[in-house]
Amino acid sequence: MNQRTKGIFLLGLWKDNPVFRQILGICSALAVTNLMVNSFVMGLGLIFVTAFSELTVSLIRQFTPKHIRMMVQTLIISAYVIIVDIFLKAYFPSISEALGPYVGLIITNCIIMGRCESYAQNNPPFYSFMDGIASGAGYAIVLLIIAFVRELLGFGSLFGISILGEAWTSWTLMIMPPGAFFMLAIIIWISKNMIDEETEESGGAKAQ
Amino acid sequence: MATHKKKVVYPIVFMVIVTSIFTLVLAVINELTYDTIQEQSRIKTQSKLLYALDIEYENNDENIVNTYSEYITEKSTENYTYYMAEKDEEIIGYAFEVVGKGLWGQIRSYVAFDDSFNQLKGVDFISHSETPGLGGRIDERWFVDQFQGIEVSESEDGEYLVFKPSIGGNIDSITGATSTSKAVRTIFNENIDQILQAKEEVINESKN
Repeated sequence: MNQRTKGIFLLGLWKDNPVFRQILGICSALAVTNLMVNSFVMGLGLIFVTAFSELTVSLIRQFTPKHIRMMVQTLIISAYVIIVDIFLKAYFPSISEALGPYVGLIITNCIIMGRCESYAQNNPPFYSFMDGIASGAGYAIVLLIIAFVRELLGFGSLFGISILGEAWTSWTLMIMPPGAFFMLAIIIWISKNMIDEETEESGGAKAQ
Repeated sequence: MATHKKKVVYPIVFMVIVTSIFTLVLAVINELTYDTIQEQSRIKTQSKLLYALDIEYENNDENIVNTYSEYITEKSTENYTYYMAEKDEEIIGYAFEVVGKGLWGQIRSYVAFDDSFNQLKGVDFISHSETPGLGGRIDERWFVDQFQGIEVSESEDGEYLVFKPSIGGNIDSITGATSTSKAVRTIFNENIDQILQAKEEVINESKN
């Protein structure tokens, strides 16, 4: 892995993490994180769609007329999302059902469009593909962290396997929408503090 | 003139080509997986019918399909479509699909009776959109299994299902999900009542 790829991953996973730094993809991050399995599949779906959309956008970027590029991007993204949707329906029907409309709604996930527009449009295919994986993974990791806490406290289980036992009183609040808001806010808060400290230490903070 | 024409024509041609390619790819994928998806949803419905009719099956696709075709035939009278279960040439039960209003949306389920319409053989929920962790627990086996063996022949007031600890109670409702529990009770009581009124019709039809 060369320096540039490392840089891409550092940005996607941490410094420019789509969820807690760019506050993108929040809607689905709140909706599907009540179970680890759902978050995991959603994360994989997003990695796939972002990576291949960016790859495709990057491959045809020199032929794409500038003023219709958004239309082309939307087309590309929706095609990949439909592929994911069909794949889940055919081979993982129970997960497809649990995720409900959220698979289809990956199309509207701002992370993908944002990365296509800001990265893939100006960079070569290989790095665009890597950027897609990095951003998708950044999203997936945040989802998994939220889901870890929500499923553990809300159901007493992880990936459907009971961890805390029968005696555990489930925090129903955690698996309802408010639980997601609390968790997301906490993650944004912690990461913001950590990243701000890093920037200050390295002398990166400019404006006071 | 020439450049102006190019600006209009090129994007259109480009868009048409890109759209055609993606449509073609999606059409092929859709065609390839169509049968699998149909099959999956059929297997799911069949397993639920088997469960409602209290017929044992192993939890794999092949076994579900085989068991289903061995036991169950779909029939219909003027007003009802129903599923008849037979074992060794003898009718062991009838299942009906019932639909009603839950707390957040439609609750669809199967309800199965024994051969003389005296008892419930069982029920199973096909789909619902109740609150996960609360009303959503109507899916759980402990709840569904309670419906097995409930007497339905001798109720005059149409209250076949009564929640404990009321007098004559036969079902535990779900703690924290009062509305969903009530909805479930109403749906079943009303539909059982209607089905019982048509039972002669069903029994006669099945003998043919």
